[in-house]
Amino acid sequence: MPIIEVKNLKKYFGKTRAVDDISFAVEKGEIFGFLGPNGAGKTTTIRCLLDFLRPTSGKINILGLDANKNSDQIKHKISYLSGDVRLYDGWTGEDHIKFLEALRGQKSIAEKLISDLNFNPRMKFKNLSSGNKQKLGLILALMFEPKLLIMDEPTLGLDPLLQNKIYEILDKFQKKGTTIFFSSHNLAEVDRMCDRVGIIKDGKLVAIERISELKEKRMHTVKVYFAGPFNRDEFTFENTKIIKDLPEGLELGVKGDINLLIRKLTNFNIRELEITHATLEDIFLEFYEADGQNKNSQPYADREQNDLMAIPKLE
Amino acid sequence: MWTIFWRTLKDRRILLLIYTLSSIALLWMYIALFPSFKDQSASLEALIKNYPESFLKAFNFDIKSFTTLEGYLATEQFSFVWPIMVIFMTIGFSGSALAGEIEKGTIEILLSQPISRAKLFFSRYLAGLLMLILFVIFSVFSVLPLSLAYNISFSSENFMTMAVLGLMFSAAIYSIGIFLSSVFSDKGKVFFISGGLLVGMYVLNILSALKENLSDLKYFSFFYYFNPAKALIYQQIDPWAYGVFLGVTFVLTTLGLIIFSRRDIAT
Repeated sequence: MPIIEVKNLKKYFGKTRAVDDISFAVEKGEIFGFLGPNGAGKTTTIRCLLDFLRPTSGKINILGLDANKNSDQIKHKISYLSGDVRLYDGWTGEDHIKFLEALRGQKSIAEKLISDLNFNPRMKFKNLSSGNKQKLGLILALMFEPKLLIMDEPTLGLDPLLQNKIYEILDKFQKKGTTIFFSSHNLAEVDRMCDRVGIIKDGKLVAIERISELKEKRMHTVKVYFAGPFNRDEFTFENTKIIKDLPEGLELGVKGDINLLIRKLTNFNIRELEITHATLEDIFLEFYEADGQNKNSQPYADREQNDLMAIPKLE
Repeated sequence: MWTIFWRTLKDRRILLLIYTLSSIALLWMYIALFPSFKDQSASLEALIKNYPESFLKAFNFDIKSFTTLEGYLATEQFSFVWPIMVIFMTIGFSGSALAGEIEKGTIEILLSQPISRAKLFFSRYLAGLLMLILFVIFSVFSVLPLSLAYNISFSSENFMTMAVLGLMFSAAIYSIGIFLSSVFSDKGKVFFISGGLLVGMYVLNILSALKENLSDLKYFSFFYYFNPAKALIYQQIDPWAYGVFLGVTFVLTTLGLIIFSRRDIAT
């Protein structure tokens, strides 16, 4: 039984289709990344999972129960962390922890998390730095050792040290059996954390892939320097495009089978050849340009490699 | 549910204390001044007799307004200052109870806990209602020890009637606030709409007393049914006041609960 099962979920706000007929399932113990730029529908989907928003149509089951009808039953076993943790300004971290313990009538592992994250629970929330606010949010989300942790851009705006600390803690929880579903537009984070990723665009799920399979999509960047004359027009064919001209060479983008290009190159006298795998960012952007709707993006093979590498966030 | 209830009370206790102590301080001042008013009651009575009847009606003046403690307090405290305090307190609390939480985003921590929206609604609603009850009890019944301290005679039954009327009036205003707080995600809207509604009702009541052809408008105003002079001097509550105040409280609270349970909540 999947931990999360979403079938034909639609959420419209008037005429705006925030989420448009998406279906996916997340299995037990999996870390599932929900990837997409701002406004793609990630947060709306998460809010539907948590029953903050009621779907226009479709079905959501969490832990085998209806996410709307059995919401409070489900929430005994799940937790939520937002990237923009908003808690009570006048309460200390300790106040928040004690409040949730009393509300749930459960003992927690808050003390251990406080020590792991080196957090001061006696400071009022309003006096905490953004990093410490996020630490408190994480403690509150993990203190009851949830079966499912849902996070909406959990490391937004955090420094790399704290990001890594959070990844370490989440790794530990995954090993203990916690299923993690999180949204992000940080590709490095998804690459680092996830088993599988769902890519959402304009409210539609355009792909669900294993990270490893995504990387195996065989996108390559080829830099070739010729020892003799060459005709650049010969290097625009089927799955190969010129990214840019180099001094006595070309930088090429190849999608799919690289042998076509290799065979072509055997006709030339090569001085130097460099072949690199495309990054996850390149692959992700492929999904975003597939129908040409993303006017700010260019096809992979037409984009300069430097541009591709310089897009940590798709805003 | 009770965790949220008690925590809400704890968070609001200073505010409740400030409102209650301010109300008691005002009462103390009025009661301390009452003996000197009473000494001049004959001239005040003569003065009141000269006012137009419609004016006296509009502002709840009674011939006994300065001759008895009950009438004096009905005019000075319970017809004007006290309702204003109740309105500020109830609208302030109800606006923050749900809409304020959505506006600040703190509702997310509550909604992600294993508690139904109905329980969340009631925990906040009941905490506010208890605050109102405490405010009404302290702000009305503190008259008794203060009067004893100044050797002023009073009728405790009349103050009981005033407490019942005050509680119904407060609960009705509170239910307007809670209803709007369930509908909107911004407490400013709750303050603005409920404040506007109450000012409108106040104006309707005055207009209805000043012009004969507008007299039926009074039935649309809480301030017609909320008549502290009648309650404190004659120990009477308009029979319609029960229906209007309790009816509004029940209907708007129920509607608020239904809307809050069904609505989308996005911070």
